[in-house]
Amino acid sequence: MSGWRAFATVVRWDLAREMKRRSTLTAMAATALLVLFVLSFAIDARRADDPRIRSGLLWVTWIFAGAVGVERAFGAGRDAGAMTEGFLVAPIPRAALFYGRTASTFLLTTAMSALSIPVFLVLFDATVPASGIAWLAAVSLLTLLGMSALGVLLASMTSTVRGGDVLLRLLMLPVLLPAVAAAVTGTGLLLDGQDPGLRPAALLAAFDLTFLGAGHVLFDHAAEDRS
Amino acid sequence: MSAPSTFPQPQPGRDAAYPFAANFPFVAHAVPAFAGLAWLNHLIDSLAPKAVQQIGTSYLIQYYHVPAAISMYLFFLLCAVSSVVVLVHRSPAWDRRAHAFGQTALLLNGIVLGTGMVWGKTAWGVWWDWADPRLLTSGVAFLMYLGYAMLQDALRDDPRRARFAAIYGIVALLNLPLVHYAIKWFGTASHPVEVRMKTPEISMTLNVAMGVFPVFWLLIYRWVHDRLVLRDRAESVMARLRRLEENA
Repeated sequence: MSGWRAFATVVRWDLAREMKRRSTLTAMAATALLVLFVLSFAIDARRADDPRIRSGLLWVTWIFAGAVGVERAFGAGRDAGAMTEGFLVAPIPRAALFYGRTASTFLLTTAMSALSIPVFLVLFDATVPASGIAWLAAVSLLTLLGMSALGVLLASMTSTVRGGDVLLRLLMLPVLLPAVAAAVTGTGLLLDGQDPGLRPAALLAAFDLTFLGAGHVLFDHAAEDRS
Repeated sequence: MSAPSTFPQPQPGRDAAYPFAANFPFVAHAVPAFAGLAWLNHLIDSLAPKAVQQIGTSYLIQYYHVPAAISMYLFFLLCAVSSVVVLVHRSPAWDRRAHAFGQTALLLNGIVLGTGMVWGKTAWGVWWDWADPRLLTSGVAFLMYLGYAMLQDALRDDPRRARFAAIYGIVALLNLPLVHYAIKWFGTASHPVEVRMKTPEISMTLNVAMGVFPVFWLLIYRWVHDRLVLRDRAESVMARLRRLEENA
């Protein structure tokens, strides 16, 4: 099977599983809602009128909810595990499995962020200027893509380790910090009505290229004893 | 679920420098390193009074902080290079080297953070400044290499440990430039980028510290490495004893 066909098969299979069960998206959306409520109580939402703080709240919510999705990329139920093993023993390029799983995780985290942003805007009485919607969408997609690539690479190692879900967060969150810094700063400037410029997007693009490339090379080593 | 790893089993003791060091790594490596650090401390005390007169006592910390920071980045790099060799050649010796480089780098990172915080308290009046790019970069690096150490520990009895740790060692190094630029671009700089050396004593002391510090830390690395060799050897002996007990 060619790389592209394998990639499409992995994405299709992951999304079909999610359409049937909706377990990952539900878990991510519920986590996002929960984190938003906990944060709004913790910092008194009525006084959180600093755009940088609001931006931080949004990204903390997405990162923690996204981590739930990444965690489940390799371990959501017995059928997912069995299918992953199936993909790993099939004569398809390992990179296709990495990119396919990254793409499906990216699509699910994007759906989670699209569902949770109206809730965030309502709860924190925030507004995004019409001219900044495209910018916010681009930076969000770049950040979620980087998180998915990094998360899938690390989850392929931790999913079969005891206590792997905790270990995954311990390994993933520090590496994710540069992307978070870029996204939070850019979104904060945008919510403040300022022009964030191209620097956040440039750093996020570099982050994505680094970890998509690293996954391409290292995923083979991470998953080799599962075949 | 997982098939046995193709990673060769460790061969303890094969790459120890010489028998005495292999059996007594603390005496062979750590004691000379600590003695050397004490000598460096004496040198700084005797050569740096002019610096203290000009800039203040807090300046003395630069003799530890700057060489420790340079050594820390050197050890991060060595950890990643050793990790690449681990993945390419599946070598247990390089796995121990990567592990020891990672642990030593984490220790150096702690020193960089500690000395940086003490200096920050003296210079800025606060232990931690969220706007300082270099302090934050060191903090993020500390979290990443703490993750590396925790991964090594969590998979201690797992045959996949060497491979997974090598992957994370490479990922952590790849992330360091991104962390640097993220904090530089999105923070506000207050760290002294350049410290001016106005007297020969000040610059000579710093040069000596810069030259000598990494050598002492290579000795500390060797101590950590030989402890890992001893640990592997002890585990191998215990495994053999268990097999003998089962067969008896």
